[in-house]
Amino acid sequence: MSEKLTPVICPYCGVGCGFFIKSRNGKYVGIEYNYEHPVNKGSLCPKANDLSFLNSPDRLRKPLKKTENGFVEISWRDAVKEVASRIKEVVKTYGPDSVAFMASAKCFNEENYLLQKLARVLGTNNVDHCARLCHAPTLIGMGRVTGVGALTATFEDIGNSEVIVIWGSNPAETYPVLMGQYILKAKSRGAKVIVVGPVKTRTAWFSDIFVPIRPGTDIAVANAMMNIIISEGLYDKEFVERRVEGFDKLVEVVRKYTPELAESISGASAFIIRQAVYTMASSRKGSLLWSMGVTQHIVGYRNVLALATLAALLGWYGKPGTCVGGLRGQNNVQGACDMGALAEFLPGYVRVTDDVGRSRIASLWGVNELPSNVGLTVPCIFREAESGKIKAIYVMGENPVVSEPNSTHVIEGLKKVEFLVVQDIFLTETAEHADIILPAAAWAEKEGSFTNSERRVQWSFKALEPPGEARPDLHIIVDLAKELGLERYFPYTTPEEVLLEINKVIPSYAGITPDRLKRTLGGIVWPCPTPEHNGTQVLHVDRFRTPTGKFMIIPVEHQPPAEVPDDEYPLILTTHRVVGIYHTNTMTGRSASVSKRWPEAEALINQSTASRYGLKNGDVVKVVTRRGEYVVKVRISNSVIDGVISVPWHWGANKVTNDALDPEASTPEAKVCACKVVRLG
Amino acid sequence: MVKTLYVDPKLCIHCKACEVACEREHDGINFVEVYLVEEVEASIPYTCRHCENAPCVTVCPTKALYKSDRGVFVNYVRCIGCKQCIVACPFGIPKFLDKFKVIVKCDLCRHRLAKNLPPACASTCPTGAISYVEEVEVTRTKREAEISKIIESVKAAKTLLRT
Repeated sequence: MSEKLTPVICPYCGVGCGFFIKSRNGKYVGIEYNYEHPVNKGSLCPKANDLSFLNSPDRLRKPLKKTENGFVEISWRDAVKEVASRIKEVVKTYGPDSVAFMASAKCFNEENYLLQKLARVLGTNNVDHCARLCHAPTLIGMGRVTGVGALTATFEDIGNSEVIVIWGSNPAETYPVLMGQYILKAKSRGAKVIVVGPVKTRTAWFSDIFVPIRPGTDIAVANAMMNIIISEGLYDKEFVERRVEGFDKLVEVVRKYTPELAESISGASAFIIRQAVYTMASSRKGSLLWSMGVTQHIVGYRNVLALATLAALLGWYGKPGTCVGGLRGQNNVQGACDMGALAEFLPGYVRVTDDVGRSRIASLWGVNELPSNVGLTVPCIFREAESGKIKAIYVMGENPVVSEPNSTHVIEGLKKVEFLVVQDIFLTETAEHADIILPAAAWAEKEGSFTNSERRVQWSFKALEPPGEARPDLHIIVDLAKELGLERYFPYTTPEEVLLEINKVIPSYAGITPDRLKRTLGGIVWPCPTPEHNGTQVLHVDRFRTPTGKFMIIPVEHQPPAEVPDDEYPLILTTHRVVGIYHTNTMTGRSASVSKRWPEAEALINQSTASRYGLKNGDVVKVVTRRGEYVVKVRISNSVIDGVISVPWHWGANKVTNDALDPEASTPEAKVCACKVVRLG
Repeated sequence: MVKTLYVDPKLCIHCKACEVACEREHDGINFVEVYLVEEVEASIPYTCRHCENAPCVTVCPTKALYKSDRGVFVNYVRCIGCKQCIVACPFGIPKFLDKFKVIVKCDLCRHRLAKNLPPACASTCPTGAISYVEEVEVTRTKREAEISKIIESVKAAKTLLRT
């Protein structure tokens, strides 16, 4: 049989690149570039160039059940029956809030929609996913000040900006296509690039101004920038007057944050902070983008408020060539949030506590009542599992044992629950603890829609046949719902049917119908209220989506990280990602061409720090924190500032990072904690 | 004008997408390599230049290496594995493939060119550090970028005068 090309959307980061899967007899043989795709114009990062994990012998092919003699294969019928009866039993004995569901930013919108619906129809809001570990602060913070948690405009607007500020983010490694196709294109047209963060990343190589700051000092720097902008009259007066509320309060708060104070807190010189501000204020067409370096802090939510406000002073909202917000790390983390796979939100960001919104959704679903208490977030699910309150956990396509900070406690929680189900394509570190493992089809073996970082909803077609008896997540959830006796709420056989329901439930998805999506290369950017609407690239054009219609300033104060260096733990530990490896390495680790190029973790340590500890390139060290130790190889690199060690987290470094939570967003402070290093051997 | 590979290290972000793509298209061998030079914050993609007056072609005693209008290619049947080309190439490009005892090097993905598709490295490169274009496109892009910067500075100067 000849080769077939099927259009798909990349399963890795949030950029949403399109390409073709090349297949023969339903098996993956390679990829082909889609030069017409509006997001990436053909180009792809290394990860998408080798998807041989799809053919890995490690793929799960049969449902597995844990026995005294390890995992044994069982039939789908028995597996679904057992899962349903155990969940029913737990619900009956301990109530619905003793069950928790983890949805997946890797799965389609339709599948996430169904999993959260299942949780809620069962009577619990305990459904969450890894957005909690990444952009929950952005979602909530941007939601408060602008009314919408998502990126305010599209990549094209970033490309048309005259100033691009990249804060706590490294797109050169985490979103290479965004870096190459938009940020560097803007730069080649004369845009200025400013990078703020503790590591001189490959993104910072391309910056006109690099502001090196100690981890966890973002607010001090942002407030100082606003101080300069206000005191020197550099702000967009017309915009602030007309569209911003709370300016006077802000003036009060930022007054004491002089550049010199910011210098003493952050380590970045007052001079460089001023330089950055003058460059930023040189244009009213700018973008301010951030990632985990901003959000994974106990002040993640407040960091977002500070940055969003900084952009508001410059007038960087509501017009082409401006874009503000968080760059999303997973192919469908935006979509999973939109679908309501979050403990406090129903589909379309209706708060579970909002009686009117909740009862609207209840009536669309045909249920009398939906639970109105906020559910448990990902970190809290594991805490409550350890404390004994959560009795059963259902995990769809996530690997919290590697992705969660202080992961030893996640393992304790997983061991303690009475029943754990993991639905995945591989036997992950998390699945090892499961009672039942359900083999899922990978993204290219099924179809559905993904929503990228720009709010762009795109259809990814089915290219391959799943291995063995692996099945699409959608079918697994529907079968489970039937077995649970919830059949009437789950009358679906295809993702199209589910999307048609989503069109009715989520107003901003109302016009994004399956038919339209399948024939539109590059998809549709929400909000798209009707089938005739072309989608909305730029948000907040005339008014913000806040109750007042204005940008609502909430001034914030600097607060040190939960852990600061002391005599026992004198160094700061932060984490980063590398370009060829994706998250917990379950997929990239099984793709030979990428895994051989990025085979292991390397801790980046500054030459001065290394000299103090007598370390040289290639030494093996133990990074010790209050939560444990992590063994890693050293690479001397002056890209990190003195006193900071940066470790990639793909290979399990989250064992030692801090799980102190942001009180607003429940996001753990994975990006900064105190540590020491001990040389081994 | 004939298209060829242009490499601009100033745009390289060291993602190695080209290496992975090349390896996929050539059964596990990659002809492009990317070198990191952290001290100067640079990354250099390194591949065959497909020279007009190619020393490898000149020294090849069996005409296994030859120059067509598209680039420099190897006829594996003719290659006797004498490795003269390895010495002659100023860029250190030809590799000796022990398994088949022949010389291998970038073939511009000729199986793709035959289908009118550009080489994989240039197709995948996120930044345009590697491009497969005509010379005039390179010069035009450079000129346009420079001119737009001049326009910006003129604009800035005029704004200054006005205020």
